[in-house]
This record gives sequence, structure tokens and C-alpha cells, in this order.
Amino acid sequence: MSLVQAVKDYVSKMITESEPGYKIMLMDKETTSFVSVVLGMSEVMRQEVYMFERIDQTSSGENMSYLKCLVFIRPTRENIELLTRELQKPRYGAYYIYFSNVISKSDVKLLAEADEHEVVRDIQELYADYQALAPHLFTLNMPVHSQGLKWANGALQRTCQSVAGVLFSLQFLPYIRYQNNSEMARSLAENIRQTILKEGSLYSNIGAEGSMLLLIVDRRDDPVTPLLQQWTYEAMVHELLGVNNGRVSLAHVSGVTDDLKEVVMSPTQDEFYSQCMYLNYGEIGQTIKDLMEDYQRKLSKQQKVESINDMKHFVESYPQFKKMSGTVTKHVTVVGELSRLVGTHNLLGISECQQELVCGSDHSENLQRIYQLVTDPKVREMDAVILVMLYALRHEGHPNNDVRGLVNSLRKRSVADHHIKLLSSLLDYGGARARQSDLFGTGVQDVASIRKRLFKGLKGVDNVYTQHKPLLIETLMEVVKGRLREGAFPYCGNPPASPPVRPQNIVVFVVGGLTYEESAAVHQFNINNPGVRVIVGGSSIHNSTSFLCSVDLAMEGIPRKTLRI
Amino acid sequence: MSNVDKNSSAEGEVLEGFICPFCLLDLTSITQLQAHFEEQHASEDKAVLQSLKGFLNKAKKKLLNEDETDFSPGRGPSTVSYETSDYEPNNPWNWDPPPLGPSRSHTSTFKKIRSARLDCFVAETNKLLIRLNKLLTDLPNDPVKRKVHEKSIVMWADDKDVPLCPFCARSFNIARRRHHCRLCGGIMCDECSEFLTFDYAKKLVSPVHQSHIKQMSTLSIAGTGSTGVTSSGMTSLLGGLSSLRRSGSQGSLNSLRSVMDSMTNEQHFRICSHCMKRLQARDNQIEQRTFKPTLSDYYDKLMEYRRRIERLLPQYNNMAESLGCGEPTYSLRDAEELRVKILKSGDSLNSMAQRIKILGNDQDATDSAASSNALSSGPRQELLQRRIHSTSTAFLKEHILSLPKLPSSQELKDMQERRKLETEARLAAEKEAARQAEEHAAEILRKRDQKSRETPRNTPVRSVHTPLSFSSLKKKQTEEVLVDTGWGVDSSTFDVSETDDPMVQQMNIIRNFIRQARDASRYDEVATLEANLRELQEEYKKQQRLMNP
Repeated sequence: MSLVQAVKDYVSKMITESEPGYKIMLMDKETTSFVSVVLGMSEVMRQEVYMFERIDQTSSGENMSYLKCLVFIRPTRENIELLTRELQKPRYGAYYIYFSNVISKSDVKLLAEADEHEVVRDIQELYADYQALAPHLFTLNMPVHSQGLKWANGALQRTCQSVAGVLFSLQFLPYIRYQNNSEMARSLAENIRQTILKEGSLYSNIGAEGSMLLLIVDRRDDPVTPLLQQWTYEAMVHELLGVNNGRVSLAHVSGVTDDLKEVVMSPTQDEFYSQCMYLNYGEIGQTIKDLMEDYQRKLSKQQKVESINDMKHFVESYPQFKKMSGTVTKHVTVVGELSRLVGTHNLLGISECQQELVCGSDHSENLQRIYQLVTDPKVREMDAVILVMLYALRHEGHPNNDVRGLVNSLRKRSVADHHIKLLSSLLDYGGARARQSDLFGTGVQDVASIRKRLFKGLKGVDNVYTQHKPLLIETLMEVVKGRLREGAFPYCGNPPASPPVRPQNIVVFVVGGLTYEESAAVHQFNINNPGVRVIVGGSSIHNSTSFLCSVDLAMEGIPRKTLRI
Repeated sequence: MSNVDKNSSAEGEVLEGFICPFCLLDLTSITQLQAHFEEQHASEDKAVLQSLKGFLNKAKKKLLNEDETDFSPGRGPSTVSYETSDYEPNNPWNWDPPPLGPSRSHTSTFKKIRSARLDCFVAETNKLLIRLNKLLTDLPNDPVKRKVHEKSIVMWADDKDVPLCPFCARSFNIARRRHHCRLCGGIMCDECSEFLTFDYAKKLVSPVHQSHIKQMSTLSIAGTGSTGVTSSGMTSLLGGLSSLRRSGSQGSLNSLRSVMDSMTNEQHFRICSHCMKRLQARDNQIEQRTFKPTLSDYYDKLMEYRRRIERLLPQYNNMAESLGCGEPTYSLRDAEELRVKILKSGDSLNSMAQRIKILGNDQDATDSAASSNALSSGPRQELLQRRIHSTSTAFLKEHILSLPKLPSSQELKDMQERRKLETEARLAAEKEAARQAEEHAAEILRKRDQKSRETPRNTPVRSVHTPLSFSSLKKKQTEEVLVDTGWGVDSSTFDVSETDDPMVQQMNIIRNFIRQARDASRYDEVATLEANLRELQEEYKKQQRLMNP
């Protein structure tokens, strides 16, 4: 079930199927990121692949015919063209070609005709067409998915291929349901269904259909989650520093050494990180402290090298020691930078206000607090804008709504006009009119939801900074209980005669991107619900910046309706 | 056997035996488990208890009655939920690996299309080569005669038929004259012509080249057929030499050749670019097939060392671990031998990695001059060499530097002594504990049975641990060794004198086995064989004592 393992297996299949000998790996930009997040470079080098090259930026014409070449690319037209050119003037002795998805017969023919030097030994399709960030999490790493609230050029096909790739690689043949009010979700669902039907030969045993579900939802139904300040380690790093293909740039941090300018933050390559990526801010501090103490203990042991035996011991444990010291310095630097940012920008205060806003219901108190923060010079411009955005979303229908007053005070802070315009874009993108779910629990309330609120009130909150639960989890609960309404999430194609009450394997795809908060929540959901396995994926993994960027792009050329500024 | 599979992957620990599903206590027999259950968990859910009892009864039946067929794996411990707080079975990081995803091969389609296309190329290229061969054979020096000769090979296209140069599409006139390709007879302008030097042509048709064999001896077999006069012999010799040199037209051979061709004014054939491309493609292909840089030799050796280490390592680790806890399975001498073997391989691996790293910096000038002509080691090759080196170093660091230590012989002796004592003590303690527990359990059951006024059931209790007697085990091992001789024993190497009595003969045979096993690095077999040998020796001594008191 693990996506990370699925991709890893595919890579080692590639490496073992081409005969032994030194090899080079020729990949495109995307496949490079697919491989690099699941396998470290040294791990691949140990399997005799010593060189890596991008097909779109072949470095030199240097002929290295003694090398074997593993080609792992997506089957796009540009890649096929580049590969044909490579085959016409081969620089390596033998080529083993692997495509990350279904390739057309005509493309095979094109390549066969280009291979005049008879260098191609093998040509295969695999279905590792996604970036597997965790066993239950995949992303397409596609920042632009929508333009003018429609699928951007080529994005639909790319998304369809990748989601189908996930299904193929795990041998899932699911029912497909989609969010009813989203045209993008509907067309994606239809496309995926067609693809699966067409490539039915890839499924070795059909019949396990009933227990699987592919659920396609739209980010527009929950625009709040990507805007909130995050407190789990993984999400914080992404929100405050930005993770790109499992790498974090620390170049701007003052006093950082050269080898820490860019660090790898990938749970597949860093055991410590995989253990604490879902811990919250307070817990990380403690864990790092433990790690430090452990390290210091070892360090002091290392330093007293007196006898020959000590020396021997030092040499023996040196590699592990070095590895540990690398881990320690990396995480200490990262956490140090995080805490600096939290302190200087009053992020705790902002987060408390955000959570009260989203989960509470007291309008005037919220408004007062927001005014206070918006005018606070310690608060960053963007954080102020986001607060106003959350307010506008939360109290959109409130009679005493004071968005204009807040906008004015933003103007007074001389916030860039562009950012203020984003507010109206966002309200059209994910405002009440664009949503079908009851995001804030304010709609017509049935008995169950009243009871839920009551319980919540009774229990109190354990942590004011993490009260918010993403909408996705609520949807998943309904799925698991077999209560997801068909009106809101209809089946694509014929609904099953007797709908499976409890699907066991669920793949959720969020059109428009996912957040690490949701990933962590799904991780917890899996733990709490043995018997159900949920995999989530999205067009990309958002932090607030990237989310607003994508909203901006999605709303390009659409006249504003809800709020004119 | 009731076994409660606590978890399958967290620590890889599977508890087996008579385990209480509530508190995960290991109780050594059925009666004890049942007693424990009634004593400790009586208050717990009746239904669960009932189902468990049912299960227990079934398990008991199964255990005591081997031919019982009723078996329902669905019931039992798996239906009982027990608290294991730290292990999360559905944590995505603990998900079991999926089976390898599907893949689809297009290789056969690809090859079909490719070979259909390449067949005509191959035919065309072969035709060109035959013509080239004919052209080179008996080539007259006189220009006029030479032209006649060239024309006799292939039909030259008629000037009238070709108004434009087919390559650049410009018309012919006084300044731009028509030229013929000597290989296909086609017409092109001067600018679009390619020139095939004699050297290159000779290289292409040389038998060395055609048969892909790089030995001088083949030169005596003149590939030029019946017209084997001196000049053709010379041609093929030169061709052979130049192909050995792998250089186009440079070098000292040039002067030799120029003497021969001094009379002719043109030392090349004019051909069209199409034919040139074909010939070059073929040349490249053969170059690549036969070309093997020094690097690849070094690399092959490097990998051989690495594989050897990888093969020996697990065995050594086993031995070191076993010796480390004082088990008498392996002999210390063997382990030390193996350690030295591994270290030696590590050494060779290291030096080979060093050589690869500096390859091309200073050695290139001497031993790989030939290859450096065809392939200059560019920055990327250097990178490759550096990477190979660093990977090997990492490999060594990981495996050789962390090679577990062996105990010294004194330490080993102490440890074995201690272990023996410990084992004996433990065995005794276990036996005592088991006996007590049995009594206790029987007591409880008896009480219960009395209470419910039932006739006491006679539960035959049998010790679960029936240790195989030592001698039978030994026997089994001996048989195994004699049957399973994977590394076929070479009987001719036995130095068994016929006069010895059968006991001595047997011992000699075993000694031979040991020697061979050691050579083949099969140390676990050595250990069993040595044990056998000791036994035999002891037996022999006993006999001797009996015979000559």
C-alpha cells in the first residue's frame, strides 16, 4: 500500500533489469523529483548508477559509449522528441528506456525508427508517475493547475495520468466519486474512468473492486486550511521556510555554514525527521533537546581518546557519529530559524486569533482582535492580509460584516494593492457561493452537528493553536461510515448496485492542492481507523503563499462578483 | 498451537506458544493457560471468555489429537482485541510493502519495427562495402585507367538525368560541376561531396574489421579472395595495422602509405554524404562493440572484490556474533582466517578505487594510449571516476570499518565456560518452574472441578519440550553432511592409505572434507565436521585403550 515503497520498487526494478555495470540515469525534470524524494543519491550510487543527467539539458557531447544508460522519463511529446534525437546520435553504449506512464504505439514507432544504431535494449512502461512524499501522500508538484477556473492547458491530462498511475501501481480499481459542484472534479473523474477502462489489461485480478474508492474533491470547498498558521514540524517548515522536492533552502539564514545552505528534509532519507514530522512545535523542541543531549553524551565519549581501545572504538563508530552530528546540526538550525520567525512575527498571537476566528463564533470579539493585529507593526503584511481574508470568509454573511473597515486599515499600513485585490479573488474562489459543504458549521444544523458542538463545548480545547480540523477529515468520516451523500458526491459512471458501506482503500485527490495539515490529519486518521487505508494526493502541496498564488492564477480573467474593491 | 501474533512488522517479533490474549503472558502449557484464564480474567467479558474457551478447547483437541480435522483459523485470538498502545498497525509508515506494480514491455514491438527498418540499411551497407572492396582491389594508379576501374564497379548516373544537386538543390553549371559518388553512382556538386580517404576505406573493408577480431594472425587470411596478389595483401595488412591504431590518417604509418600511393594524385574516393553516413555508422558500431577502456577493466575487478566482500560478510557476521556470545559452533581460527580474507579484499578494493580515481591523470599516457585516441577522458568521465571512488570508499567505511571484533582465544574460552554454566542453570530453573506451575495449575483445575461437581477430567499432560537426544541429533547432522555435499568432493585427492583400520580411514576422509570445506569458505560445515572428527577420535582412543591396555 505504501506509495514510497511502490516507487522505490519501480526504481530498483529498473536498475536490476538492466545488466550490471556502471550506468548513467537520464531523466526529465519531473521524474528526477519522483526519484529524488524516495531515494538518496548515495543509495542509488551503491547500485552502480553513478551519473545523473537531465534529458532537457544534456550537458556535453562527450561520448561515453562504455556507459549504460537508464532512461526514465514521462511520455510527453517533448521528451519523446528529445529522446529520438539522443538515439540518433547515441552518446552511450546501451539504452534501457522506462516511461513513467502509458506510451502510445506511434511514439514507440518513432523511437524505433530513430534507433539506427541499435542501442536500445529494452523499452517498458512503469507507473511511477507521481511524487511520493510519504506512504500515504503523493503530489504532482504542479503549481499551475487552473486558469480562469478551468483546467489549465495540459493540466487535466497530466493530472489524469498521474492519478491513474497511482491506481495502476497499487492495483486499485475503484469506484469514482467527485464533488458535485466542481466542474473540474467532474471532468477529471470522467477522464480517469476512461483511462482505467482503456488500460484494463494492467489489472491482473479484477474483482476486488467493491472495497476501493477514489474521491475527487476541489480545494475551493475548503479555502481556509491552506491559510492557517501551522504547528506540526513538517507543515511549519513548509509554511515558514518552504520545502521544494524534499529540500529546504536555508541560504538566507544568518551565520549558516555552506553545507547547510540547502538541506534535505525528506522522511524517506532522514529517520529523525520521519519520527517527528507530525509532532507539534512544543514537542519538537523537547525531541531536539533529547537528540542534542544524546549527541553531547556521545561527543564527550568521543573526545576522550586515550587508550588504543578508545581509538579503535572511535574509528569504528565514526561513520555513525558523523551521520548523527549531521542530523543534529541540520535540525537544530532549522528549528532555531523556525523559533526565530515565530518570535519576531508574533505568530503565536496570530495563530490563536486565526483558530478562534475559524472555530469560534463570536463576531465582535474576533473583529476587535483582528483590528489589533492588523495594526500591530510586528505582524507581517501578508499575515495581516491573511487574517482579513479568513475574517471575510468566516463572516461573509454576517450582518455587521466589516471587511471594508479592515481593508481600509490594511491600506493605512500601505499594504500592496495587489495583495488586497487577492481578497476579492479569494472570496470568489472559495466564498460561500463556491462551496457546497458547511465549512464553518454555521448552516442548517441537524441533530448530529448540534450534538457535536455541544460535546466540543463541554470538553473544552486542549490546545488553542490546533483546534481546527480540516474539512477533509469530516468528509472521510462520512465515507467510512457510508454516509457520504450521493447528491454532494455522485458516482462517476454507474453507481454500484449495492454501494459498499465501508470502502477499505480510499484514494482522495484534491484538485487545486493539498496541505501538510491535511496530510498529518490523514496520517492520524489512518492510525485511528484500522481497517481503512487512506491515501491523499493533490496537484501540489500548498503553504499560504503558494495557495494564494494559485488562487490568483485560477481567477485570472474572471470578473469579481462577491466583493469589489 | 495457539499463537498470538502480536504484531507482524514493528519489531518483527512473533510471540508463539501458549499466550494469554489479555495480558500477553507466556504460559507454558494448555492447562496452565486455562487455569490462568479462570483465575485472572474471570471477571472479563463472558462472551469473549466463552469464545476463547471454545478456541482453547479446539486447540487442545488439536494438540492432543493429531488427526483432528476441524480447524477454524478465523476464530480465536484474532477476534479478541487487546491493548497494544505503542504499536500502530495502520500507521502509514508501517504499511506492508505493496507487490511490485505492473509494467508493460514494448520491447518486442520496438524491435520488430527497428529490425524491419534496419534490415534495408544493413543490406545497403553491405553492398557499399562490397563495392568499396572491389574499388580498392587492383586500383590503377593512372588517373584515366582509374576512372575506368571506378566506373566498372557501379553504374554512374547519367548527367542529363540530374539537373540539380540532390543535396543542396542548386543547378549545375561551369562553375558548379557534376561529380559522381564512387559507391552509388549518384551525382552531386563539389561542395556536397565527401571524401573517403584510402586509409579509412581500407580500415572499413579490412578483414580485422569485418570479423571483429583484433589479432594479427587473421591478417594472413587475405579476405580479398582469389585476386590475392601482393598489393591486396599489402592493403589488408595496412588496413589491419591502421585499424589497430584506431586513428584516421595520422601517425607514422602515413609516411609508409604515402610511398605506396605517391604515384596517384588523389588519395581518396569521392562519395556522397549518404553513403558516408552509412559507412561511418557501421564503423562506429564496430568500434563500440570491440572497444573496452581501461576503466572498464578496473571497474570489473573492483566489482568483483565488492561482490566477494558482500558474499563473505554475512557469514563472518554470523560467526562473529556466535563466537561473541560464546557458542561453540565455529572455530576461532576459521573466523580469523575469514576476517583476514575480507580485509584483504577490502584492501584490493580500496587500491582499485584509487587507481580508478587517478586514471587518466598520469597513467593514460602509458598503458591506454590507444584508447585515449578514440576517447579523450572529458570532465564527465572524471566525474564518473570520482563517483565510483567515493561510492567504494563509502562501501568500505560502512562494511569494513565496522567489521565486528572477534574475541581473543582466552576470552572465548571464558565465555564458553560461563555460557555452559548459565545454560545448565537456566535449564534447571526452567524445569523447576515448569513443574511448579503444572502443579499449581492442576491444583486450580481440580478445585474448579470439585466445585462444579463434575467428574475430574483426565487431561494427559505431556511435556512440550521434548529435547531430541544429543546422539540422534549428531547422527542427523552427520547424515546431512554426507548427503549434501554441494561442493562435490574430489575423491582423487584423498590420501587414504589402505592399511589403516576403518576408523582411521574415516577420520582421514573427514579431515579431507574439512580441508575442502575450508577452501570453499563453508565454515558452518567445517564446524560440524570437526565435531564429528572429535567424536571419532575419542571413540578411536577408547578402542585403542581397550585393545592395548
